[in-house]
Amino acid sequence: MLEIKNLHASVGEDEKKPILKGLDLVVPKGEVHAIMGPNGSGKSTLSYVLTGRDDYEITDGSISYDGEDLAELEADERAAKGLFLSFQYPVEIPGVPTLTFLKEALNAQRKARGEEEISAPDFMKFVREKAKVLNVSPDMLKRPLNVGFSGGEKKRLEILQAAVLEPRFLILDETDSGLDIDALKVVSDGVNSLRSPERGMLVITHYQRLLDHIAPDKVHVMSAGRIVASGGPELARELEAEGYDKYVRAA
Amino acid sequence: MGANFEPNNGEAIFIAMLDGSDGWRKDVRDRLVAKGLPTKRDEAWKWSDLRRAARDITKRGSTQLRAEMAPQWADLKRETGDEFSAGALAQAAAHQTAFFRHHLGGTYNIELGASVGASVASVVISLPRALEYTILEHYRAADGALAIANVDYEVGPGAKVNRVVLFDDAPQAGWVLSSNVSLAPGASFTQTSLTFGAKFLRQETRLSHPGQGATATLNGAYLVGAGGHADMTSIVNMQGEGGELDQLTKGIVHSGGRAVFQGKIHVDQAAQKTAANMTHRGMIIDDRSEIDSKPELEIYADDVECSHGNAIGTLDEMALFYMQQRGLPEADARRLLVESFLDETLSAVKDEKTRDSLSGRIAAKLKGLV
Repeated sequence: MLEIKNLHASVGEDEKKPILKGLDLVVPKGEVHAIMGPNGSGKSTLSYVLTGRDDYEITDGSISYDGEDLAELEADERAAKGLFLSFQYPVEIPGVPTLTFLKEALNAQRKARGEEEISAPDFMKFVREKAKVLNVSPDMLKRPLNVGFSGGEKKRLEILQAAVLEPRFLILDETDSGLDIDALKVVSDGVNSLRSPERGMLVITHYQRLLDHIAPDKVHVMSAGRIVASGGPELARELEAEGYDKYVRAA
Repeated sequence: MGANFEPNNGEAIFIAMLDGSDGWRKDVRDRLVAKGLPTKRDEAWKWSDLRRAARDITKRGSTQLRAEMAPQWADLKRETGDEFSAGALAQAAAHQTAFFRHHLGGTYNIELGASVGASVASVVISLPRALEYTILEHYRAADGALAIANVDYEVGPGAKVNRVVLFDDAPQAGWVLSSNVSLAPGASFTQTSLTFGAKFLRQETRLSHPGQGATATLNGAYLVGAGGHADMTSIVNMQGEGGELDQLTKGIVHSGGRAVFQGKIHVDQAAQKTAANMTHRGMIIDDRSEIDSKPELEIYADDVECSHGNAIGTLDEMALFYMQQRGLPEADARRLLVESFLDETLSAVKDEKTRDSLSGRIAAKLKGLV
């Protein structure tokens, strides 16, 4: 279970700007929660604060997973604890083949958890199976990570990485951005196949359309750095029809 | 000029190597007596002060050339101009040039060592046949050495040449390696250089490109740390129609290291349909380190495709975070980023074993460094 209590966070190297202003959220295991909100409400900031990006400083409140405090951990330590962020804009890493990167990442996590490293043949077999389902070609796996990939390819690769790293908690930041209908279907099928009673998910999105494919258990509305409303899936449809205006004003 | 000029220790030794010479050698000596070695006041050497590097050299050293085959030794003549030429100085002062002509394709190793003190060497490698050649050059120097080497290439019609230049770590030594490379029509020349810097190090490549189906690739990587200096300079003259040139230099400076990239492409009016691309990417790890770069295109033909890119940056913080988010500890993410950054320059090395060995040297050097 992911628990966020009274979270305050500021962003910036020198001049700190407060973005999150007392955010409370609980996502139990096995549930998919969506966070919707207008641009600038702090949705992406929340994803970076949760995963431990530098210069995103928690000034008050707490983040814990299954009761374990995450706030003091480095980004890679949080990853090893099972936190995975599917980036809105996956970063291109020239010169590092996708497969090499995935194997290094997986073994780094296993090592951090005191598990044995996976052997090269086992890893290859494991990745190939997952890649096939997500329509990721062997050629893509050989190419440098994300370099020259289309928007759809990058998002498919994000989900493939999640499938390989098997995180306990998945954060999807604007996963539908830059996707056409076909790619959206492949990506959301991939996400749905990752749903499990042991895994929670937080789906951050501006639009409702992703939620047609990934049905959330709960929907939260974020505005000015806080959750201002929560409800069932019907809340997403209401937002789509009526916009964020009343929540922005309420905040 | 020259009235007040007093040669320093090292300059006096280079001058002495040319005592009693005549003809073009005397011209080289006269110039050295009048103006000395180039300094930061000379445009072409403004970031690499050779005179200063010679200051503390107090004895005459020697170079040792090792190769699988014995060279022919020849007293070659050379044109000299007004400008200082490190290659001309080396060839003049060496008196005899080691001349290798390989009629059979294949791989050839050359090792040049320099002992303490000022020394010179001159080599010409002639590859006349339309065959594939790999030449592996390995440079090593003792502490307190300052060696100036001239290593020229003559590449015949249709010959495919892979030149690999590796400088061993030499934090207390100085190297100047100057090469004139002349390509025949239809030749292909690929050069890959790797250096970890030295107290003073400059590699100059002057390439005469005839166009007419000839292709050239000039790649280089530098990784320079505390007290180190590496200068990668190239001057390419595109002289005929339809020539291709690809140039990629990448490097990293850290802990106070200093690197210089000077790349000039000159396209003659006759060199229509030239396709030339020059890229330099530098990474500065900390604010004690420095990279100076000067890319130049000089184009006199109107129907050409030429481009150059030059970017100096630091480690990409967003890439670091992305990699950490996937579980890589920060140190590993940094290492992987810088390793892959430099590895790209090795991609033209055909022989896999050689490429792996260069890549391994970079990895070993980076271990525990970033």
